[in-house]
Amino acid sequence: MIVQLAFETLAIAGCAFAIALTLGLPAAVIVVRGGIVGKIVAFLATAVRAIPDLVLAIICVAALGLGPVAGVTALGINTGAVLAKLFAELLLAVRREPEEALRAIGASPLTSFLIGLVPEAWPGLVGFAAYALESIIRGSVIVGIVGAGGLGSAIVQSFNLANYHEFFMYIAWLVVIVILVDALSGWLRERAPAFAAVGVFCAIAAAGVAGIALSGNVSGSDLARALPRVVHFLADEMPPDFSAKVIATATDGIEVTIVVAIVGTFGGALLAVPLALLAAPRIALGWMRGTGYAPWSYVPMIISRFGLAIVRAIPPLALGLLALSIVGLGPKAGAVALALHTAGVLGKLFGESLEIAPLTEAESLVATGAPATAAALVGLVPGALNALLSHLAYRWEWNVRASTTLGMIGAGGIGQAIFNAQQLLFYHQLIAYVIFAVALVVAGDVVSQAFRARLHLRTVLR
Amino acid sequence: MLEFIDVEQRYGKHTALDGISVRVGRGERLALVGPSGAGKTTFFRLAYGAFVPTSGKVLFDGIDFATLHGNALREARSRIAVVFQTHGLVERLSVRANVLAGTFGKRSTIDALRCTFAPNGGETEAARSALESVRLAERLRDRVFALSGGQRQRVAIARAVVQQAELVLADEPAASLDPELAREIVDLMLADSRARGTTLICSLHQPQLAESFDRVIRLDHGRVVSDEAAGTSLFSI
Repeated sequence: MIVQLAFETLAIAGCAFAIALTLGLPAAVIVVRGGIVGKIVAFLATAVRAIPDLVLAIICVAALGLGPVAGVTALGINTGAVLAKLFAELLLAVRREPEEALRAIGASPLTSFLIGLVPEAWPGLVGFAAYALESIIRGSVIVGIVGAGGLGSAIVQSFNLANYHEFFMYIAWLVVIVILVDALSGWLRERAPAFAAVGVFCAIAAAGVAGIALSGNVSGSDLARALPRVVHFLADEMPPDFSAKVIATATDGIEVTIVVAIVGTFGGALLAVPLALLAAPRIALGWMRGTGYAPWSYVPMIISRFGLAIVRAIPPLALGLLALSIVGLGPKAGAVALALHTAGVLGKLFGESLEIAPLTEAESLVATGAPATAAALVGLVPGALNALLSHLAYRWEWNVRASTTLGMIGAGGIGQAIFNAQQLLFYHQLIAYVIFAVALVVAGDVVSQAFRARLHLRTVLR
Repeated sequence: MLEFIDVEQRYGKHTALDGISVRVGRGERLALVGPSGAGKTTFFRLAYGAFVPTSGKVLFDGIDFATLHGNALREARSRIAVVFQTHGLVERLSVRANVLAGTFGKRSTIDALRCTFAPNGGETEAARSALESVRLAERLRDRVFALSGGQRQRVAIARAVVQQAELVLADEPAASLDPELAREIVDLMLADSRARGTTLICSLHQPQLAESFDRVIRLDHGRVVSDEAAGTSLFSI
């Protein structure tokens, strides 16, 4: 039973991965080639990325009905748009001379692209594809909510039936799968030879499509027709319902969602700081005290790192369900779940930033006999501060999306409004709420980007 | 072989080439000197038809580049080798693959991929003999990122050799190299040009390197300020 659920989850992930690559790679190439078509594709990818994943899933459900096709399509489109952006940025950032050198001697455009540009971008391409795989596995809870099957559905069903014993067991299994996939992705990123990486990616995508197709009532043409049907549905349900009542609900919802995102981000950051200090070997192992590496000091470090890894491995929506079961329905549960997940991610990133921050300043303070904590705070943290703040800004962008999504499983806010509209089949309202949510996400991104631009400026000026 | 007729190239408000007319004969070895920003790189990019000039014509073997498209343009380019200042090598591929990339002008995409990842004996031999002419045959199987700047430049020259091109364009091949290495690279290119009777156009930062060329053109602010046989007034500025 559990094995079958696990395989279903992997099949869903593989299939979504296949869709994401089929959409993301060509889109990135088109964006890089530029021109009017490139601009349109870039705009579409940006627009899709601004739709939180579960919101996209709900739209797909409205268009395609409950089931694996809706879930896989939503996950595939969402990840495909992210990949399109990452791949395009990568292809624009790598050295162009090798490609130009081949064009200059008459190699065909395709040859020049494949031999001149792709190898230059290769580590990044593999890295982003692996990252897509990681986020898709975490997203399988999302597709569970829309009834796609696998562990995601099992988690949601057991939660709805208040069968917490099973609920925790399924989450534990999902965490195991997430950790395994993360390990695979780490290997692909860092050590796998180029052909092995291509082989693994193709095998996962092919197995996923085959798994979904063989599992029963889904055919290949269902998958191929899914995207056009979603577009058709959206066109049919225009114009959105912008009545005064809808706008009032949306404004209230946005307020709640912003509060949840703020509490989640900053609460998480506060939790992350001590965990990061414990997880960074430099500090945790007593380098600062000048006592060398005491054996006992490994214990808190290992516990902290293990804890951070587990919290990160729990998909945020599962964490949300968990919080709902403990705190009860409402924004409080959303904020708690978001803060926990943020602490897991920022704890790791903060720890890494502290590890790579320049040591000389702290070292000179220790040399003058300053206490270890003071040396760390005065000498080490300022060097890492820009990196810390930049991570915080990225998390804020992510949390605005997540806070919307958490609303859809009962944490209130604009997400709740979207979910209710879908349940009641008020599709004109649904689209209006989605537009509000997208505007909120875009506003959150703009704030964060302005903040990061100032951060960058400060670094340059110093 | 190559003729610029009243060529003007503007990038927005900036004028890179301001009405240049130059005629380069077959087998000629021409050095192009001038300060950075003089228009040397634009000259090279126009010389292999990277784009069409704002006004004027660039003729290769009597054919206007502006009239060439698709396969015809590729065919013309396959007769021109280009050695870039930054080498234009694919760092993650082997030296052999990078040298053999010189033959891509005559290959389909499938054949180019096969030649890159599974070269046959004859191709490996061609790469080896091209590398021998730049004294780098022992690095045949190494990745490019393991090579020094001078070695990379030699791989780029070997690529031009394997291409069997009639015209070799080299944009600052000696920049970013120490003086001795710069001399060696320029000598290698001249030797190859003499051995195969090809036309060579080479831009240089240091005028003293231009001594061994047949002809020296000095560019400044997008204009030809002097055009004379080598060795006449190189140190006048």
